[in-house]
Amino acid sequence: MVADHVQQLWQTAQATWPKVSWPLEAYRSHLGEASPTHPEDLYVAGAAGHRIQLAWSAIDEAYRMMVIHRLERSARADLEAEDLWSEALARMMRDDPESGMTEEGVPVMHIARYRGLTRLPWHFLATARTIAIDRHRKRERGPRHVSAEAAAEVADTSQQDDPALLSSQRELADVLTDAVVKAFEALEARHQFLLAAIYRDGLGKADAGAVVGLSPWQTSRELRKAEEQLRLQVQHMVPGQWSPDTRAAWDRGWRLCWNRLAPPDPDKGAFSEGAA
Amino acid sequence: MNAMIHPDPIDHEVVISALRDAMQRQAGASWDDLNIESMAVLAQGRGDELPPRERALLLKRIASDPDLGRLLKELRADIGDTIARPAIFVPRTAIRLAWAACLVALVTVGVIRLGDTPTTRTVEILDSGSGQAVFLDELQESNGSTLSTLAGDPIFVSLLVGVVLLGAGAFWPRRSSNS
Repeated sequence: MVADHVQQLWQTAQATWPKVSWPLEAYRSHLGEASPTHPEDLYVAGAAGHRIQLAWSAIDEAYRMMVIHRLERSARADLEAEDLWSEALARMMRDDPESGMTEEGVPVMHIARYRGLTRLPWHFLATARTIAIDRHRKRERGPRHVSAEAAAEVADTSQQDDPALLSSQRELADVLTDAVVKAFEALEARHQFLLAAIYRDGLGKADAGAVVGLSPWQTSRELRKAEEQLRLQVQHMVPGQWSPDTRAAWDRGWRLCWNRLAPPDPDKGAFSEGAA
Repeated sequence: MNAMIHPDPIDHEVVISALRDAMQRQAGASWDDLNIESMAVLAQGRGDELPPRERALLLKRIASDPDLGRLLKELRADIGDTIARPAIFVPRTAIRLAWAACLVALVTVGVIRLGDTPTTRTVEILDSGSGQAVFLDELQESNGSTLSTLAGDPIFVSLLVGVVLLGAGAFWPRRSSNS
């Protein structure tokens, strides 16, 4: 980055945070080649990461209430917004040797990883929200894994009397499970995301599309593409005869699949359009 | 489908389990290495500001971890309203409609103006010097060529500028949103 420009950013940042004094050279080194969207916030975060106490005080003073107010909108009952802010601060204050050392030879703090892409209060807010959900999920449920065997067991329930059919169904279950998982993994990232966000997480189409930079109509188009590619890939991996009856059965299968994956939402329908 | 795979309702259960498995591959996995700032940027709908590889990995990770999906959803509720979209991001559909309307108006005005252009005609007048009748050509000729006629028309010029500007706004290539 051009020296004059860095100096200009540094002067602006100093004006924004008059109580925080951090040398130009340290800021320049922290900035590197990056062109952050929020260089002022990067300044105070960098200073805090280099253990300048006044920077921490300034952050607390400027952003604490802003973050807490937002957290209070939907803070978990088991963890108050105030606690979440404190926990987020504590997480940001962790030693982070991977990010480098200060001039005194001690590790910089975790907040030094902040890149200035989003405003610093939203970074704290995201940290606090992550802490809340992470804690909740660890307590409520452990790692889940639905194995192919478990899927086969479901398939087996109505065929237990016939060993030959049982074996055939197991084989079928393995083949299909493998095909579906591989097909999903082969989809491009944004298609995977759209399928999961809309059908599994119940995110609105416009919201899900906005996350990946798509307009609502583009989202619909990409969603249909994702569904079609998923089905085509499964068909490709499990080739064979394809009749109108088979297609209808697959269509029913996909719809059932999305219905079951979507979280129950008593206020509105789980998904906005049929799959496949 | 080969003969072994037939349209049996059981198949759907298998497919459901398989997809659920695919979408929950990382459920319960540690989030210690999660880049929270990138999640916040994504939640603000500014994912195209992330390095493409990082963005793709993050999207895939969210797709395979329902709790991350929930986190993203809550972050959007928290900070989704913090993005003030500048006027330049007015949906392209609206800009394209305006461009099309402007183009139609431009053509219409052009046709009307050209139709209105006075034609050359010859008029017989009496020359006071010689006392004879002479023919004076192009008494009502247009000032300059057709183009200069249109160029002098403020409405036409305004529409032309509008078509160019709106066309640039409507069809200027965006950064790819591919992951």
